[in-house]
Amino acid sequence: MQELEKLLALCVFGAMASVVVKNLAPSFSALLVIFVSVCVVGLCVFCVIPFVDFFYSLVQGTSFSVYASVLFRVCGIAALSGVAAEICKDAGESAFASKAMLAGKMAILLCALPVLKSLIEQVKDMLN
Amino acid sequence: MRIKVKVVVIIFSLLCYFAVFGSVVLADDINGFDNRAREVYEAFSFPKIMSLVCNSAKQAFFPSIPVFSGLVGMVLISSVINTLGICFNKFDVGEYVCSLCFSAFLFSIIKNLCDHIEMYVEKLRDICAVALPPVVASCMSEGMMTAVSGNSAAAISVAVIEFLVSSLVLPCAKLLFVLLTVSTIVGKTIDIRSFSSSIRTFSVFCSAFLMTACVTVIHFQDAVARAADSVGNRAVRFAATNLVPIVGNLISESVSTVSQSMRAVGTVTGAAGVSAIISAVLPPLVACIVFKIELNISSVLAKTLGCQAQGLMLSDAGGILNVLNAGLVITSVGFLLMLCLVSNII
Repeated sequence: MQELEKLLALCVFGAMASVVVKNLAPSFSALLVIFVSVCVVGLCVFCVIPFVDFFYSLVQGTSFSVYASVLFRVCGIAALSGVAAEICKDAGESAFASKAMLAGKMAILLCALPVLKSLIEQVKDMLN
Repeated sequence: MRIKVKVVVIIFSLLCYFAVFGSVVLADDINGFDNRAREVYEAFSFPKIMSLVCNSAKQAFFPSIPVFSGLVGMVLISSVINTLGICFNKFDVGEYVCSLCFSAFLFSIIKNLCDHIEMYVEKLRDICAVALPPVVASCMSEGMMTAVSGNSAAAISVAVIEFLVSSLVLPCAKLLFVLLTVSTIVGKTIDIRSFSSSIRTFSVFCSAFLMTACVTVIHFQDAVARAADSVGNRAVRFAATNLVPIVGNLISESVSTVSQSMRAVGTVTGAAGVSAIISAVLPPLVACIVFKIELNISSVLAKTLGCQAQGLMLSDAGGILNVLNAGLVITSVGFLLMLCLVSNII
């Protein structure tokens, strides 16, 4: 609960500060937005660690633990790339935003590559 | 007549044994002999045989619980990913990876099942093929030339049917599973459902044709007399018609003959032989039926939680499993027929 209050307070403070700084020094506004966004994302990651530990303890030893860990990593990559894209969009750089999304998609496909390889091996084994 | 002679010989030899050694045994260890006799009696008693059958069914049922929990777990994770996809913009790649992981997990389970079934079918097919020469040779050695043609034709037909099951039905089922996995992964871009449906139609036709041929062999085989249409047989026929897909109607026609076959085998090998056969034939069938139930339940759960692609994949997999079940049932019925042919010659 305390972490939630800190996050909300940080977001509201960052928004107000960005409005004030935009009027005084527009170039520093984007830097302030990036800084506050990184802090908020860091706090979110810190808050979600117990959930991650609980999730891994649940799926450990099950038959689908490998797939569950891949999917969880995919969610994390999607969240981070989404945050980066939004920051770039707020800074007015939509090109960089689309590149950030593209990088996220590439990372997700790389995460899924071992699963795809094992599936293809199993299909070949079955058809042989 | 031959069985009566054998029984008389066995009883006579037992009497001779006890006449020579019985006094020693009885004098020295009366209590031990009583205990041993009781153990032998209990080993062949009906509760013991039923417990053996139940243990065989349990061995097929309990290993499927981790599989079911895995399926439910993956469905829940897929549902969470789909929900997160609503939060994250343009999460189509994440949904693709989710479909990929789910397909890979389900395919690994299905491949394991297919490998076990293939091994089982091949073993039964090899046994039936190996039993051919003794069947023909025994008939010819006893001078029963009319029985030679009947029994050998039946034995060859059963062996051919089982060979066709392992060569046609099982590979078709495997191909269908592969196509299902591929269509789930690339379904949005390439639609191969029409191709897989034509293969499925062909495999269903093969299964029905082979089972019809098997029933025809039963009809023309006069080694096994048709039993009376008892209440028990009616119940089994009803269950076979409704529960066994594709070949249920044909199996219900052969239930009375199969049960008579088991009785014929039991007269030669005794209760131990019957229980051994049941232990060999029952677990794969129970495992397939249990897995189909699990697929159906998981499919309903997936569709309820909004995972339409996964739910469709699970229900289609259950449909393809019917083809596998049909091949399994045909092989088991053929195996029982072959045992009956061999036991009638002994």
